[in-house]
Amino acid sequence: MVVRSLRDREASSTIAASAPQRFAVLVEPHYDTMYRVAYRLTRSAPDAEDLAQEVCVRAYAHLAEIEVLEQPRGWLLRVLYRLFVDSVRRYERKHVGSIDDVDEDVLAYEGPSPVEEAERALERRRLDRAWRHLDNDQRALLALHDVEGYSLAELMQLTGLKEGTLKSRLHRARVRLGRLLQRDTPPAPGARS
Amino acid sequence: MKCEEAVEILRATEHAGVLPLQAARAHLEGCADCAAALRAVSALRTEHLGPAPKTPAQGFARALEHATHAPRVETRRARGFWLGTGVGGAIAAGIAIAIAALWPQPTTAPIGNPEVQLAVNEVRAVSMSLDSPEALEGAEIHIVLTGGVGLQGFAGQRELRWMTDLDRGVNQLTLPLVGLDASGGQVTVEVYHGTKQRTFVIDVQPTGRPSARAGETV
Repeated sequence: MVVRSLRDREASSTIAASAPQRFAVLVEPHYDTMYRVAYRLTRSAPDAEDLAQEVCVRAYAHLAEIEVLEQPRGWLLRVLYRLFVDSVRRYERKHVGSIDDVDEDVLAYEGPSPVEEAERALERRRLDRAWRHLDNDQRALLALHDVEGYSLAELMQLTGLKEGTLKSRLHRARVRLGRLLQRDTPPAPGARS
Repeated sequence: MKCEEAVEILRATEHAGVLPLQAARAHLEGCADCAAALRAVSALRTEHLGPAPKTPAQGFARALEHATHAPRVETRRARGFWLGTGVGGAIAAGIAIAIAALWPQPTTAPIGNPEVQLAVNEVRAVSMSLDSPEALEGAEIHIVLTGGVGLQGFAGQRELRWMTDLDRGVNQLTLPLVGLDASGGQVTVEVYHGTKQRTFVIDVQPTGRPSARAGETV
């Protein structure tokens, strides 16, 4: 009995994974999602990596808590959302001011025509400018719902807000962004001011 | 029809019935808010359909490296160190360090670090006043202890890091220092905000006399 129990212990110590290994198994499959959402929120590749990294730091400190979860993705995104909303100024220092600031390698590009490319660049520039005038909460809701496609039910879990509150905040955010975009759009040729 | 409903119907016209679609369009004609909201929806849809951000190579490896080497965050207890703003708050049995300006960086080098006398096992509240020219949301405070000095309630921890908001003006940071041995030591306080960073060092000198609170454990 003693021999067997010793062998069992040896075997279990051989297969027992270290904390970083367990963390990698749990969190790495969600890193792409975390980075993509962080990028949508911050609109900057370095800031997105900082934010995703900060989520990993928090997650590692709560490894035991995450290990008992059936699906850690929700936990990770909740932390990401809160970190962004609470510390938005920290993650906006390198906001993308124009398309020229975007590292070409960051975007998996599908090769549109030069004209389309120029139009997209202009749209993106307008959106970037307008984005900077939104509140942190507004940015988060628009990025998660209208860009990343998270449902209201998912957003309720992420933000802890009620459905009615979410709907009205989302609407206000859209209205504000739409007005900012309109203000920044040049009048059509021949249009009278 | 409510604005939120109208925008949702017009946002997903392929799923809408004929009558709701007509009602939403009628609503849109007289509603500038909904027209603005739909403009935003359209711009964001372009973003959604456009190129997706590509995860940086080695991104997770870097995050893992960072996570496994980061000091533990002690947010709740560490926040308790703050007494708040204003210089009027009295510190019982404590000492106060002169006001330290966060930024801009002083043009002249400091003459020397502020000094605190501490006996072995003595606990002393040391208050540091940080003067901020503006309110700082999400500032990061990093404390590093070296030598024979510790923080009461944080036995064995040589580093603490937490995030907090600093008010404009003077913010008091009070640290319950404890003498661990007679070697003396240093307390380094680093404040980060965005790309700005300031470091303050307090020298802890041992005193020869034994502490009256020698029985107190850290």
